[in-house]
Amino acid sequence: MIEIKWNDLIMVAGASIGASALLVTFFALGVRMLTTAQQALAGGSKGKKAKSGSLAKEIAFRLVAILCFLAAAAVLIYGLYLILVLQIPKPPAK
Amino acid sequence: MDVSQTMFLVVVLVVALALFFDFTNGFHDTANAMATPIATGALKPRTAVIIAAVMNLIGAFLSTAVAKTISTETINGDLVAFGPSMIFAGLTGAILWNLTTWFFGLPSSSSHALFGGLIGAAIVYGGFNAVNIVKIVEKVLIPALFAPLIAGIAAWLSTSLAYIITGRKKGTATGRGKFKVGQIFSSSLVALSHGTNDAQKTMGVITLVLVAAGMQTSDAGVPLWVIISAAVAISIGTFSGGWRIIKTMGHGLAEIRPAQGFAAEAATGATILASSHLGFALSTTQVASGSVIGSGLGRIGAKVRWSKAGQIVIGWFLTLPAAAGVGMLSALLTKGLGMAGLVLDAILAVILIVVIFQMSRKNAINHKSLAQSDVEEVGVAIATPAQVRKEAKKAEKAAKAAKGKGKK
Repeated sequence: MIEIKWNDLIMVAGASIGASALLVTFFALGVRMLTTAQQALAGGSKGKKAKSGSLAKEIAFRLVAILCFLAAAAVLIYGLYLILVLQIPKPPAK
Repeated sequence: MDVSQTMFLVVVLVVALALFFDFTNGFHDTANAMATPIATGALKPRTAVIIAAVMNLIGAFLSTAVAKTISTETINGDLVAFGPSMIFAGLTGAILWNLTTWFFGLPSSSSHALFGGLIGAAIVYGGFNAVNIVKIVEKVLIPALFAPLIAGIAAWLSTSLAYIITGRKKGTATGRGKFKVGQIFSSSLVALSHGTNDAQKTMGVITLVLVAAGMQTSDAGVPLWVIISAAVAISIGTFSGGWRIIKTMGHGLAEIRPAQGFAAEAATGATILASSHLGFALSTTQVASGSVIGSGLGRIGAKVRWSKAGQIVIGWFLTLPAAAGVGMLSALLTKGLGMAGLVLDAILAVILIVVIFQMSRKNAINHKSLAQSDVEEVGVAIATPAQVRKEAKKAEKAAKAAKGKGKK
């Protein structure tokens, strides 16, 4: 009898969709923050106060961007970890 | 020539053929990881294949434990019992189908080709009872049906998210070019996972041959020289670059931009890893193709070439039976004529391989012809029916407006 493991298939679908969406979301947020940071710096060129304010904004956006990229890197590293762990042969069941 | 010398010759032939299969597997599957970064310009074609080759080489050394399952679970009885000649016949089927699909630029599954070739040869050697249909459906056909679909949905959602998050007012920069940097890492991860999966199939086949020939015990594991040779063969194959398939996957299936490429690779990597984790043996090629189509659908205004996608899907359905057919023909020779049949089979295979390579030279595709001009060429991609209707409405409106102006 053909046995389709529906639960496993649903798990594969959930994990694949969830993991890729998570990775892309973190990276996209990083890109967005970095671009906003660059624009904040470019926009705040008038006046000393405005300049320092935009500099602070730029630094804050950059920090958030770095955090987002680190989170994306963590997801990638987890993928690498899975590759390594999956390849270690399991001892035969007794 | 005594029996041991004959057996040694057979083993040498099978090992050489297995390594050649590994080579074709490498250049056939370079596209899985590197088609999208090349298409978006994240990596230059040569750089991309060098990274893919290195990652495949490293990946091949990460494991020695997987390969055997694919053949032992789907063929009733032990492949070893049929002897090296049967494996030789199976490999011939896999190689010839791989080269045929490569010639037509179709990203088909090398694993399914190997699988089909071995099944065809096993039928000739052991009858239809030698094939475990239930396991084939469970382990090959079901994942083949679901994996590209899951990867496609994952890529579609990820691409949509990427575009929503980075969306901005008109006239301001979106910074989406920065996804190119992410693509370097995500594509490397896909190449690494490919190396760990695919190189092992060849290692397993060679080890089986050695066991079948009585040169090694079944519990001795994969010899170091087999690991090194299989790793080097898949790496050289990857370095050679299957430019035809890279062209199809990078430019022929959908119009790909950096954010889409990154999303496609993320979806490919996630699907391969999630499936492996739960024990589904799937084709990295099918997953990667599904992701590219999904990312094509995920960006508003992007176009998917449905005609090409249809051709690819037909190729997927044909891979198993076609490779099995060639494997069967090959096995008829090796089983019927013994050593003479094996030599004849090898000669015929070499002739066909040379013919395919010669034919491919007539319209050669290499890293130079995959330059930026090809990315621009994508503008002629066939639109979806909805896009066609939208454009027709636009044209109609424009014509009406022009008519109205003319009357005034």
